[in-house]
Amino acid sequence: MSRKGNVIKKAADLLDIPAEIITGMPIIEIGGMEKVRIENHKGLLEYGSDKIEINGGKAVICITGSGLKIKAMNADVLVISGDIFKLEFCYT
Amino acid sequence: MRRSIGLIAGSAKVKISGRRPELALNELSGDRLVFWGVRKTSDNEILLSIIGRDLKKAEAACNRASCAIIVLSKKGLPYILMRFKKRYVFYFAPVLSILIALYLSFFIWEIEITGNETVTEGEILTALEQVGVHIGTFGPKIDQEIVRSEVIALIGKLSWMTVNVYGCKAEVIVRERIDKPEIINESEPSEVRADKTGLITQINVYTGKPLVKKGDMVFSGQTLITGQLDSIGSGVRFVHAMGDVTARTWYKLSAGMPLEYITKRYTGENIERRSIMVGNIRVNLYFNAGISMVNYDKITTSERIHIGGFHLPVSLITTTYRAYEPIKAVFDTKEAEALLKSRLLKRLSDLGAKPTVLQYETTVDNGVITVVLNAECLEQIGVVSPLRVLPEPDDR
Repeated sequence: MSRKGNVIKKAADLLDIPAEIITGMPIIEIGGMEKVRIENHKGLLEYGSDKIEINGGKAVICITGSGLKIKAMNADVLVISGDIFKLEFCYT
Repeated sequence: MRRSIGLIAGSAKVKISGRRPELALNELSGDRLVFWGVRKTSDNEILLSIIGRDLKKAEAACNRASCAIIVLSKKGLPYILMRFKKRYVFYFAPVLSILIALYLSFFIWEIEITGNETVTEGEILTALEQVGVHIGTFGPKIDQEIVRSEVIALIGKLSWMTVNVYGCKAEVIVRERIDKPEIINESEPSEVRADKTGLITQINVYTGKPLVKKGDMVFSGQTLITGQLDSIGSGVRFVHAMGDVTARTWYKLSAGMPLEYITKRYTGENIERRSIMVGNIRVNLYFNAGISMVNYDKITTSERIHIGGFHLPVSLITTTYRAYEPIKAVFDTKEAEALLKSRLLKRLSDLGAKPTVLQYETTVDNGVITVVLNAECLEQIGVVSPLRVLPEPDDR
């Protein structure tokens, strides 16, 4: 994380504000093994039934599974359903 | 939910193709367009559904992502309505329906009768029909005054009636005439006569002079209390004789019936015929009206069709023909005897006699059962009748 990012994070901790709101980091909710809800996404990078890559700003969120589908999508929220095997961050 | 919205607002299934169709999804979501059912068919193709009215915006978004968009199908209410856009009858039909409903609402489709006790609804409906009020009558044409006076003239038992027309319903309220009590002309000379033969057990004279006493045997037609009084001062005086005379009377009634009778045995063969009555017009829902059965019962049921509490002038009439074959049956003697006894008691009660002693004799001869009832009764036998010899006018 950059120096500017660290400062923002520390300020957020000090003020007891969720850091992801200020820094614009994605919020990821995993429901069981079949649903992932991602807020603050920056768009899709790759879409397939086995692998979906989402631009999360500072990192790429990579979801691997089978029968993956975009259940809902708008500018802020993305909901993915299917059998999820793995979720990983690939820093760029 | 999304599918329901799609059906109401209209949805289009589209194919987005390009080098990176994911970018088109980003553009669509960036433009806040609603889409669902995303399915990747190949590396360069994605199928999805969007709201029909967003098609133009979706095209622009796909162009920005260097993708092509092809509409595969359109469905939903707006597209269905668009198909009927040039069918003018669809605009004309609701207007015509409203006009027809409005026109028909001026006719009487239901007649409700209240307030009748002894006069049947059938009698009132027949009288109303005679004066021109029936199902299908044009409501505003009903002149209540004329209907009221004519129906009252036709049915003597009615003293008052009114016809209120509420839309398609005619409410008929009636009041029945109360019979005048019999007025006894007490100035008319009369006597009390026996209408039956019997042995007097009690005599109460209110006016007049008794000619018989308790324990006397009297015959039908005999004068019991006379209205002709002898007075020492003014000679003969005539009064309206009144009194109660109770006597012991005897009856011998008989009834008989053959023990063998014909009854029905239903074969199970039924034919049902349905028809629809619209107002007074009957529409048969069958072609062959002939009945091949020799002996049958005909049962007709009429079911008025209604929507909620509103009765339509349409009835569904079901006529059932039940085939039977006549077979001979034999009554049980005791059963037949009980039946005849009850009939005899009913006859005795119809004669107005109150039995004190009952005696039955039952005989069976040649397949015919006969029951003879010997009854001793206690009853009023005195009836007021005009004097047999009316006095001369000067003698009054």
